[in-house]
Amino acid sequence: MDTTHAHDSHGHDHGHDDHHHEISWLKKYVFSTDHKVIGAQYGFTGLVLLLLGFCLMLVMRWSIAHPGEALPGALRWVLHLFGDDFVTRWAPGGKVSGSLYNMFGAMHGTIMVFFGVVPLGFAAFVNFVTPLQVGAPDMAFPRLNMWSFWLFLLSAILMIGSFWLPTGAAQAGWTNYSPLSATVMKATDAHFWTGQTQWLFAMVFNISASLLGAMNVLATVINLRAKGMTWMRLPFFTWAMFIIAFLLLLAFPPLEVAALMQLCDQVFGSSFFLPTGLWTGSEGIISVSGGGHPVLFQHLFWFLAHPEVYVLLLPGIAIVAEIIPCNTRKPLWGYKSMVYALLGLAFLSFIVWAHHMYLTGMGTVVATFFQFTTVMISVPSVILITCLMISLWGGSIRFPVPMLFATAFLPMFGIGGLTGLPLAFPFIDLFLHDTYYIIAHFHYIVAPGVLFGLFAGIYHWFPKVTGRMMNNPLGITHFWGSLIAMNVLFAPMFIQGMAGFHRRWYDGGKVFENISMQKYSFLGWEGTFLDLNILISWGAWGLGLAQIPFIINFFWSIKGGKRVTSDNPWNATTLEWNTPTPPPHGNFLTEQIVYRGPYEYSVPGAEKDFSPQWEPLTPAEEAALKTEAAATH
Amino acid sequence: MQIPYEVSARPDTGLYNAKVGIWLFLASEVMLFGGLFSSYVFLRIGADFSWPFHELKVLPGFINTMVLIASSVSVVAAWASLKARRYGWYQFNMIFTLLCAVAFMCIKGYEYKGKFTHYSLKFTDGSVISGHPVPEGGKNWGDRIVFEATSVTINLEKSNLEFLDNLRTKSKDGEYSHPETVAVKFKTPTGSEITLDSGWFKKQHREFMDAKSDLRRTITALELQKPSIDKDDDDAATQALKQAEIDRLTKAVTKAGDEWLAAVKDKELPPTMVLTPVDGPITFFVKENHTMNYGKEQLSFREGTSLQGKLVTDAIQFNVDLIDLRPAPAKMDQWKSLHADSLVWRHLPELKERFFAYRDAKVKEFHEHRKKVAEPELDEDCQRDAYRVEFANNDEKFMSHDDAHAYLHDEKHTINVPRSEKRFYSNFSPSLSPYYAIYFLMTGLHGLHVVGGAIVLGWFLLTGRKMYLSNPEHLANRVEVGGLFWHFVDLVWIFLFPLYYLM
Repeated sequence: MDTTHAHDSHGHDHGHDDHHHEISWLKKYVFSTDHKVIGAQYGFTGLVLLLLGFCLMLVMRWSIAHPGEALPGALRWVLHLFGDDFVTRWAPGGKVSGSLYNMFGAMHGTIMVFFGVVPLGFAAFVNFVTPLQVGAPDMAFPRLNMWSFWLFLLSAILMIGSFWLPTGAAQAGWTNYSPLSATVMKATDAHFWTGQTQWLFAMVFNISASLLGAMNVLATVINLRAKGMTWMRLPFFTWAMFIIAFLLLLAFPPLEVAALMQLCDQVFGSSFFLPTGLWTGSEGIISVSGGGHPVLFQHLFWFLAHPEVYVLLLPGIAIVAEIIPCNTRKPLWGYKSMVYALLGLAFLSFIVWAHHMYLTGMGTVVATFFQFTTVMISVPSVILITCLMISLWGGSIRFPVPMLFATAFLPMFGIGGLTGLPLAFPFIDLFLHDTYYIIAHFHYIVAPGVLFGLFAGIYHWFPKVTGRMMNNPLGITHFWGSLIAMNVLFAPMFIQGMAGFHRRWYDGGKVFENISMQKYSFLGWEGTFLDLNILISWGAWGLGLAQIPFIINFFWSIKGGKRVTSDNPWNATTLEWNTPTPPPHGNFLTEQIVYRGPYEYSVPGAEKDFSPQWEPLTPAEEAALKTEAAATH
Repeated sequence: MQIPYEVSARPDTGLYNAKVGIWLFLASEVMLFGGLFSSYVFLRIGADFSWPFHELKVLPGFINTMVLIASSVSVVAAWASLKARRYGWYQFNMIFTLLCAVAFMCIKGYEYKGKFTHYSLKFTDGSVISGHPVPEGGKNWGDRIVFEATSVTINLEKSNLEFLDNLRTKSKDGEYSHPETVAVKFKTPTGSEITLDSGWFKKQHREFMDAKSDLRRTITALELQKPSIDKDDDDAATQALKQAEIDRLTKAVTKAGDEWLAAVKDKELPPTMVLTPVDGPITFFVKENHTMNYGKEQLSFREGTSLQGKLVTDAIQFNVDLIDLRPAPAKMDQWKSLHADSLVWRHLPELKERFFAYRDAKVKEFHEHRKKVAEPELDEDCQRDAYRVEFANNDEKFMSHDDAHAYLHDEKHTINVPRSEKRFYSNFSPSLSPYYAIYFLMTGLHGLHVVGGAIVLGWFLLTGRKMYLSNPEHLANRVEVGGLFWHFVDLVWIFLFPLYYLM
């Protein structure tokens, strides 16, 4: 019945892949509705923006390690990205000014979180892999999918474009707290069209794109699963993406509300987040009605931003959970408990937000509630990571580059996660709030944690996307360089943070004599906390160098990598490896039927050490199932 | 390639794709409006001003509720007509739905317009009056600042000539009017005569900015040549040498700056330029939000231009239609002593006696009505009844309806409030208070949803014929999905109406 309707109403899509007519290059690669091309577009944009966010950080690290010194030429070109005038306006004499540091600080966070990791980790991977894994020909709403990407791209262009504004880009941190965000550019002549306003517009577009994308993913997983793909046969990757899409769908709207309210404050002069009698140095008592609440913004912001943490994190876990069974040739240990842990994590992530706000003085009862839920949420996270660890046990592990990144993910994420536990308690958090300890904690999760997961995913699915393998020696160089540099970069921040080092000192704490004189001693090393700034910055330069082999590898392998010899080069079990390589528009050549669970590696009695989901049960397996069923009756 | 379940339902979920999609979309919409409703509660509970309630007229809101409910019924009827394959009925119901949407937006627009043209003025002592500023024109300046400028200092770097919008021409009998074209002749510092318009200004601005970028480049190049002194590794001699080099370069930077200033002066491109009107002083009626600050002899615009001359008046010409002496909750103790000598009575002495007689009557009435309340004047409801009078709408105890009408339209009751006595002045727009901010945000977003929904439904109506002939079920599905969204929009209004109009 379906197909008859389909042929009537969709004349232009008529027929099968073997005789579909030529489509122009523009339609195929730019305005494409194919989920795989859109995935690649998201991935490419995400990688470029991650690199940009990284470069901003290099400039900041220079200012922290060498305050008051002119930027070396190798870093000054980052400023030249934003026009020749940018250096003379914001870095007179080539020195990083306070405003420039604030601008880069705010934009580094914003770009990394909303324009780098989420588009790459969620949007790119979910678009490319999920429809393949569930055996669907495309997303449920392909045209909407294209619009989501273009809306996202528009938001990215607006966000990056704000560097060219006369006021410069936003300067109030990636959290954009009011009233700072409302007043920081108020005394400028740009009226209301400032970097802050453009930041908000970009965010509103970005959020709308995310909402549409998330809805599309959910509808695809709910309604387009292949025959036999029951919920408990969904690969863990798709489960995780499904949950992330729910988080995005339900947590992002309150931030959209907050952004709209801030826009009102900026453009229409309202006072949603501006208290009565607000005084600023440049204006005195500012001329608004007042009567609003800065803390309301923080509630709305963190109601999104805590689930957002899991939106950042779960793609990493999801990818690692695909790669580990594939390379240990063993089933994923505790698949079901991992799925339930995921559901618990998603639920709890909605009721922990105020642990970011202990410093607002919320009172002990409320703080205790959020302390309790925050400690609770570590349980499902630990279940996830423990299952992944146990999955390694007793496997005959092979170590291609994706597996290197996946195994490194486990301890690195562990460090990030465990150092977060103390922060759940208000009495510790009050001391560590806004210090480098926090920076180290969440960077350990997002950088060597999530990013390693994403790199693993890129190396893992690259052969499916392009039909060529990525180069191995370059990959190994990339891995070891990144692993060492990341630890040099982030580990010393814990020490600095516990000494009270504040996260927003643009001169690296130089003017705070107390801090600069204090000495630390760690495993026999001694020095002042200010010296650590230089060590950390060396870690940052090293991390930058370590990405060069990756960039070369990525572009070179598209054309010059070793061709894959089969459609399933890793001998994996999930449906995406059952398509031609690279998959054509419409994906599968035949209708997919799923016969078994997602991780049937080394099934006893099987001929091969992997039994893909698309392989019918052997007579022996059917007989075994029957006896099992008889026994349970 | 064909996406499965576009039209027919998937057997195990029982839904076709678009229906899954719209339910998910509505879930996120629930979170969006949920965030707004929560913010409303937060703002209202934490308000440090008397939260306005019962201030919106119920009737238009009620009519709108009925209109939306009717449209929700008709959109279902449209879907049912398609299911029964009766296209004519479908068209009829759809047109009715769209007419309801238009009616809703018109009533909304009427409500909004009333608020944008109505102003509220808060005195420095916290008492509030509202009403209408006298419209500008003739001899009246309304709520603008009148300034007579003998010279204008324009800023070549920042200005965008916005200040010229405030220029007025004076006729022989002393009446002011908006000039049709701005063509004032000015004398520049070097003595040449120019007509200040955007063509001239843009040219000067571009030349100035180019010159300034050149200077910045020169200075940056010099700054970058400065060596950095390493206090640990450099010996004393090297340090001294480097310091000398730094000093030399610093001098070079200063010199470059001075030379540049002299050069732009010659080219008539100073950063700021004093222009003198050729035909004597010119008058401005300045919008307050165009100004940065002003005094008796100067006025600066936010865009960088400033005027020198004489401030004629900064009083607001205002016709009052409401007095509100309710306290801010935080100011309770002071309020009781303040309201008797409120600044309101300086401007409206003729109403003072009448107001307090009215208040006493209201407090007494309230006391009889609710004996349990020990101190009625501390009760929010009592305060609202007794300390807030809206001339035309309160009962006859304050002013008879005819009297009120006459009062509001009599020119001699226009008051002049100097800006030194006002704390805050705004129309009933989002800037007036967080109450009006969230009122406009929520109803405005809801209105956008109505418009968006109407556009989609209208599209189904206009382009549906072809799909109806080829695949009527597909069209019915589309209308069902659109209708679900329409119901949601209706439901939001069902919550908004009591929240803003009744509570």
